[in-house]
Amino acid sequence: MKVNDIAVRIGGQAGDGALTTGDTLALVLHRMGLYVITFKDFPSQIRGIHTNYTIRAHEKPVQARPDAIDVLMAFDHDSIERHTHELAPHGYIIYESSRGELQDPVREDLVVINVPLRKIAQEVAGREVMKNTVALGVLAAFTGLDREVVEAILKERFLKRKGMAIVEANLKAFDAGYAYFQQAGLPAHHLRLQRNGEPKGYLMIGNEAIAFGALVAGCRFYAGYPITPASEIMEWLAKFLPKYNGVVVQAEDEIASINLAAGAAYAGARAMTATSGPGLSLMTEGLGYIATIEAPVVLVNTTRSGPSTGMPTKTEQSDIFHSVFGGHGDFPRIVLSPKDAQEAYLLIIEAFNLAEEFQMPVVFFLDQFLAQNKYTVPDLPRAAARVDRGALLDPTQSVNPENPEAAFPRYQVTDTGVSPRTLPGTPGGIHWITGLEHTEYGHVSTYAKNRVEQMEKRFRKLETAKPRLPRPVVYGNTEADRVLIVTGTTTGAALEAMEQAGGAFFVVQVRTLWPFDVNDLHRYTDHKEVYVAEVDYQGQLAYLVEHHLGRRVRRVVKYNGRPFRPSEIKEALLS
Amino acid sequence: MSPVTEIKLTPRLYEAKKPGWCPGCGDYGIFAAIKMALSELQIPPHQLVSVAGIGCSGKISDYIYCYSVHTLHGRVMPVMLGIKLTNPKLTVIGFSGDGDAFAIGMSHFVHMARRNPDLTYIIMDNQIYGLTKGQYSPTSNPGMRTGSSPYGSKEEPIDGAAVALSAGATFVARGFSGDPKGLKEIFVKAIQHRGFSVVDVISPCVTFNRINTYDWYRQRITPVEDLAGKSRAEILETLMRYKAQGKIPVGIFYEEQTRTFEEEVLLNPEEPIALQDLTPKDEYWEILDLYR
Repeated sequence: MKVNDIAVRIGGQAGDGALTTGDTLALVLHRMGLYVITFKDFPSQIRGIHTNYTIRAHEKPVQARPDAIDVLMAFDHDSIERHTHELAPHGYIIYESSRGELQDPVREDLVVINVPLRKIAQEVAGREVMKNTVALGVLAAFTGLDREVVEAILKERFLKRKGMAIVEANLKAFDAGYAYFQQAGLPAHHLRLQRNGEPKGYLMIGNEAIAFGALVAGCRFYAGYPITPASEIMEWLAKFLPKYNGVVVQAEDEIASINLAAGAAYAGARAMTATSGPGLSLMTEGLGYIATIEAPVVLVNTTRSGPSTGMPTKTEQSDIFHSVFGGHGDFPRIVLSPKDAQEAYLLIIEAFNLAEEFQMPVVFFLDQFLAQNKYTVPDLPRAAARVDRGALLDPTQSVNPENPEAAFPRYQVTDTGVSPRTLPGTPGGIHWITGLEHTEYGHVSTYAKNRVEQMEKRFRKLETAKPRLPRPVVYGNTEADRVLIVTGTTTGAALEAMEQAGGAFFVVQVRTLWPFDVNDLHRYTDHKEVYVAEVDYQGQLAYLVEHHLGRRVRRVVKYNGRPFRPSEIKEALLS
Repeated sequence: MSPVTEIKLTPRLYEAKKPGWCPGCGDYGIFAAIKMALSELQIPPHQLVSVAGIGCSGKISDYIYCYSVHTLHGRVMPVMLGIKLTNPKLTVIGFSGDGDAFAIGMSHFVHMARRNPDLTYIIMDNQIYGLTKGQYSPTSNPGMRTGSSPYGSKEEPIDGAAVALSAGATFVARGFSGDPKGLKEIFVKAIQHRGFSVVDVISPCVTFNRINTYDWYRQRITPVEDLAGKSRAEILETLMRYKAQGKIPVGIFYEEQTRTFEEEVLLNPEEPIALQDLTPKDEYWEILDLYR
């Protein structure tokens, strides 16, 4: 008997309701007090091709896609062909049989439930679309999915907008599905869901946690161009920023986006843009510019499968190089990498503070998996909210009481590399900013001595920043002779793999990809066998680790557009 | 401002350093005209932001005295808008060459006209790429032989004023740097206009463009007839008629008062983002009820 440990996959044609049903199921499980994580595997096409959605729920926090699925809810035959092999032993198939039953049980151990979902929905509720609710009823009949919770959610969704009749029709559909399973006399033996106390926090996608974190951090300016999988950040902020006198500009392209953010940051806003691979390529000229004018801009890069247009709706971590090294010439930047929605919230607040304290771009690196999948987030703590504006001088006070039109050495060479900063409008703070090499006042200069001083000043900020940057997190028993280094969402799978392997290795999660913290890494890797797991082809994180450690590591890579299953990592490390 | 700090804002005050353009360059006339316009309007340099692009024109960012921004090539417009939305109290004036505005920056130009922010955009048009030593530009005339068009340019020139008009700019004018006083008058009106003002300025390049010289322009420049009350379409037609006659119309072509982008998108333009208190508010966490 598996109690409160389930993975359900819903498959069908895009536009078939798989995503809506999945969202409802995720919310039901979340409200039952379980920790939920979802895995959306949808196409970059609005209708007509296969899509599927996996919902995993557990009593303990889980942060990886499951090794196997317990229930396959198949709205078409295509879903059977694609996903049956991933079903756990004695798994269930709920098959939409309105157009014919699933004849050949694909595997002997499986429990196949042929349910004419559409027909039942039409009969009891008068609408075929309620087939999704019928399917949830079937699922409830052999798992214990809580009807009260379902009812509460249906009321929230439909009562105000569509009236009680729709709520009742949905409940009828649910009950019909429930009754259908009971009459079928099928075994319901090993999956058990039961309430696990109060909900464990919030159910949200990574992009929502980032957008909320940005608001909390004082972001009042967002410019962006729609791109999968970043758009939810813009949509969220477009809704909420205007309420706090902030603004969202949907720009004509990513080049405009980052330059809008540069202008806003220079003028005093906490400014952000978000994009994905192709947009990051366009933004790269702006990244170097921002570093040169020393403006604080946060650039969120929700990495998808590349190269070029790649697989826009699939995940990958292959923008590590671009995030860390992209751009011409030498310039400093900070690159942060959160592992889940909660950490994304915590680190985006840090990103805004670091950008302003060290007057440089902060690239926020994550992947599609984190950006667009739902997590039960235990807390988005109020205590983490902090706004530190660094060396910004009060724009309401004159910097030079003698002369409001006096010039100001904006790029003053200092020990920390950080120079006091004035905003346009500040009396006595006049200066020049340019992408050309410049003097302390910002005037154009190609003098060798000045060049060296300014270059060193800019890079000195990176040294000053190092003690302030999020350090690696270590999980497990560091006595083990194998260490697995990961970043971002691969951490979730790595931690579960570590548990499966009985602690045969431990895990180090890198949270700051640049500047790379080699001291901490040495501490955990010396005299160990070092593995690096990541979702890309070349092993980009592995390159960074090898360069800094001065030794080769073992690569565990995956590049089919899907995140790791824990077992894949375990096998790679134990083989 | 206290009496001790009150300064008469002379044209000279807006000059940070002596420009390094070629002697005789049309950009001197533009620089003289903008300094006179700013002095006439008495805009304090610390409340003024100049934003310029790349090319000979962009050098103005180093010469002008105020908060001055030198952007990447073609990116004057988005940087200006970012500044203006963050602090609408600032006067923001942009400078681009014909390459900056109409080649690499064209899409930003068109989209900015659509939005109508309160910005002034001055194009310093010499019909040539000067800083890269003479290649044809988007405003070069067909047949022009340059380093990159040894057999003559095969492309039709862009008419910046016509593009601005059709894209929705609410103030469109053309001036001539050979007439700094006349140009100053246009600049004053452009800066005073609340909305997106485009001033296309003819600015001869004396080093790399030996065809479109001061004399060449003087023979063709014609003050435009009174266009007050005319529609955009009628004005476009008029401009095309002048062009067909081999004339270059100058003057203020179009002016219309409508709501600015800032007024449309900012909750309270009087409370600039730049000056807001960003201390986190408890009410943010109420938003999270959506995710329970």
